[in-house]
Amino acid sequence: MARMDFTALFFGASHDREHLVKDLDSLMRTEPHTLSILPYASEKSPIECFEAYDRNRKFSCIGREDGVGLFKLIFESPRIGSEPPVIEGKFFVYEHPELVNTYLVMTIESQDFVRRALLPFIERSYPRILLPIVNHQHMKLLLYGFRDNCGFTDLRVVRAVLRSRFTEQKPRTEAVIPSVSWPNLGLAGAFDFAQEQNGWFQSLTFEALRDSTEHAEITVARNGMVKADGELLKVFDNLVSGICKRAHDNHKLFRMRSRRDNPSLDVKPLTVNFGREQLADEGERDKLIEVMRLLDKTSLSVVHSNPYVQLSVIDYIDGSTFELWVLNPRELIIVPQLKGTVAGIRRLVSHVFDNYAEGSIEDFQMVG
Amino acid sequence: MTMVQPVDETIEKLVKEIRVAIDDYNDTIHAIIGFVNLYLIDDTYRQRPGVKGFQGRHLTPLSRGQGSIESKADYYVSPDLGVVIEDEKGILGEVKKNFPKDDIDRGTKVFAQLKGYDQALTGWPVESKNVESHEIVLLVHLATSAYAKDFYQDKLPTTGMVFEHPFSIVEFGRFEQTQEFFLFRTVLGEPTEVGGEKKLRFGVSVPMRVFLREYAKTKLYDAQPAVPYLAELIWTHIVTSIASENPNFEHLRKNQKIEVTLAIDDVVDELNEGFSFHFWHGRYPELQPRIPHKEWVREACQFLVDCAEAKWAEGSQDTKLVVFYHQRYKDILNQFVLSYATLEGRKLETPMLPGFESKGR
Repeated sequence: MARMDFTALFFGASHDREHLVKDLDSLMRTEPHTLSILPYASEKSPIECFEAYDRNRKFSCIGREDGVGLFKLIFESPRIGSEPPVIEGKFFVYEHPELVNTYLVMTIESQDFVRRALLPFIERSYPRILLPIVNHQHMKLLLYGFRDNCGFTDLRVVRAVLRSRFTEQKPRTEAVIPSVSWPNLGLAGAFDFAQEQNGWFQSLTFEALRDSTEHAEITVARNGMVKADGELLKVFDNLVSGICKRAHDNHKLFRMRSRRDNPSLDVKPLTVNFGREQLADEGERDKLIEVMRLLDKTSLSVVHSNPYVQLSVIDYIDGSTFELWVLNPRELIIVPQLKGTVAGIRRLVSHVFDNYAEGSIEDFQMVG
Repeated sequence: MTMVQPVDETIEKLVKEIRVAIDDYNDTIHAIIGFVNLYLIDDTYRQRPGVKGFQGRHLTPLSRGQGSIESKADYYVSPDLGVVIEDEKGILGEVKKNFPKDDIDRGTKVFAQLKGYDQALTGWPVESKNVESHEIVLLVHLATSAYAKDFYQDKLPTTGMVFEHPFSIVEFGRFEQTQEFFLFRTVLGEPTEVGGEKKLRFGVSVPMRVFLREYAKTKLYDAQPAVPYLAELIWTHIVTSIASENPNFEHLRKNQKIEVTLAIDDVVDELNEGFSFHFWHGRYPELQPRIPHKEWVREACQFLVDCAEAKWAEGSQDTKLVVFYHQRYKDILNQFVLSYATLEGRKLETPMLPGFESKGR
């Protein structure tokens, strides 16, 4: 008797926004799949975001329902090697029903497709899209919340990609290399370990355990990508929704910051509030400047370095210009100049978080 | 025969001088913003409705004495800062970050400039263009404020110069105490303060972050900045913006360039609207000069031409510039300072025949 191909049936049926996640959950209960989910924010429709010319990747829309689009992507590898030269797959783009300008890319295709075809394709849509930054503290809160809200007894970390920030003891060449480990630690142990290393998780894979039984293997990455092979509805409600909210909030906070966005040409600064006296001495301020110099595809002019810091930044990707100011030890102030795009701000903030220190991003208030 | 310094040493010295000039320029802008805001905003940092501030405004004498410099039709004074309180009371100020020590000529020159404000002036930013009374303030960095005070008290009387309008000296400086502050304190006289409180006598310190919004958009006032500083502003804020509209911008390789054509007048307009004290002059713009002056912009553009970053558009007679925009520099200001110092250093090194000397900086 021929085995029923539930996946083919799944793609043969139409899925609207209300039912897509439930339909995916049903499919994954029937056949083993890993669902990869990547939230992003954008003011453009998915087609406008992704249709940009890519020599090696062909993209087409194969189905549309209200709030859901199904797309096909074919990647022809320019390299000759052991990997298959052509890889293709389907993915959904789901428009969040409550959060404006917020979308989720979802696929059940292989990790090879995700890694080689889909993720680079999405990343090439910069600066049209904003990927979230799941910083260390946020990731910790999300995972503890997921464990507690879903009644799991533990989340056992089975694989972690850790990156360390550079310090005097750790030169930057060493610090930028990610280290991969399979620590078999509980959540607390994993986050303590990262803190000791002055690092952050690029991704964290864990088993969701209830009474020693593994219910799903889940990965959460700093760029917001979530992968899960089970417990989809719980993952959606307790992990993905939080990341969507962060993408949405950041997009809302970062947009319309260009001085040209308002007729009076006023500045609309943002602050990275470290929540502690992070920049208390000259050494720390020098370190911040050195770290900012590492940002790829930028020019960084040091207008003033001590005791206050004033830097002028050009983003060579989209031509955004910024000033960075340090006027007290607790915060880094980001001032978008005449042109300061959402993507440009995101790139700056992400670089600060990844390579210097994390903090909360806030609208600048004159009296802080 | 004079000893000639090695080129590298000369360039290094020039780099330091330019850096100091840029710092002084920015400190002067910060002092203007800080001092005028003592009047513009109240203790809770809210705007006072009856106070106006201005910078670089052209004021002319109400009566012109015959045969004097003031008698010329185009004579005007342009103080670094001005305040009008309730359309009646005026304050005019000049910022001299480094008051000269033991230099009578230069000290006298500073006070001679201030003396130009010591007369009935017209052109104030009020309906009638006149105010009932005004006073004069000299702002000096706290490192040299004592010299300014001594000069006023001891040396000025020997020159016969006397001020008829109320005159005061206020020192300013930055200090760090949990955050960066800007301090203003009276060292001589008694400047008017809104509300009549004598806070300036004991020193008024304001966190720099209060003025961040103003600092970030004010890069120019009515004094010519160092050429590389202005060139960096043009490159960063104007040339980059135009170049980024080119589809090749994002993928520009290190050795590739985008040609960007600029009209000098447009550069002046953009910098004036985006990076000068333009935002203070909304209601009474008529006597405000356009900052930067066209000549400054032309000089900065000529520098870009001299260091092969640009060329003058053919037949444009120095009114249009073609910039070869690239993304090679990781620190544009530093690069321009170095290039400018190198060009100037070489000029100093080149032996000149008598009568063909370099004009110098």
